[in-house]
Amino acid sequence: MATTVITGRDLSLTIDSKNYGDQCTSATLKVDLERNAYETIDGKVFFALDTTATLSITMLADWGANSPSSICEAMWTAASTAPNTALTYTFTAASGAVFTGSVYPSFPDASGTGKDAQTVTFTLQGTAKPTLTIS
Amino acid sequence: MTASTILSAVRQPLATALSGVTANVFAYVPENVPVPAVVLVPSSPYLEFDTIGNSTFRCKVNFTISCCVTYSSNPASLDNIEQLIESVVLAIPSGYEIGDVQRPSVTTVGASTLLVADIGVSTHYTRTL
Repeated sequence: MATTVITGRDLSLTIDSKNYGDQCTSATLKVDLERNAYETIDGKVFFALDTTATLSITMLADWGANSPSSICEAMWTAASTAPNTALTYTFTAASGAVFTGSVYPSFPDASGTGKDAQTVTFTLQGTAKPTLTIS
Repeated sequence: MTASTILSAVRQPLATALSGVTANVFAYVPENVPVPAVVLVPSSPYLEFDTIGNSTFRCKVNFTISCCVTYSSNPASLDNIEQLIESVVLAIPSGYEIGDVQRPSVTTVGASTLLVADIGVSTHYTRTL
């Protein structure tokens, strides 16, 4: 059986209908499962309580871009004007494996070094565990 | 609408911006180098693929800008190449990352002896339709 390899080129990310592919250099969808541990007379047992989803993005900054319009500015506007309104996202890990869900907006940072392209890193809080659709 | 190319979106704007420098500007390596000269050549690695996705062609493009002046007396030549480097760096448009300037070296091209320093320049390109 051939070894399956998927790469960052197989990824695609859309948040609030905006394609992040042109700017995004790294994207991580992380779901943490919170478990409680109990010591019983039969030994340690675990019980799952909750899940927390976060979407971490590192992207080339595009402040001031017009065509296509800046996604840094769109995220900033969403965090400023409607911080409690979740934005839907679609995160494709590879063809046929798509995670969907919603995240709350966050303020992108603005920073840079003298010689490198400006990058922006931010983490978006998910509203719930994402849905994985396999097709 | 014609699709964009690295030439139209990256190389030509850079060459056009450098055309304001008081030197002969080449977007390729010429057979003879009429000094002072600024030569734009691909660097290595030339193209890097650092964004996610494969819906279109996107890459980081790395160039070397070689600044060339006549090498006669060392103090004068060094001053000339420093001034040429300053004018080239000032002419590079926004959107291009400027890397390090390598130590000037003496190079013989044909019958000419040149003092040459390389400037690393990078930018990102996305193919558009």
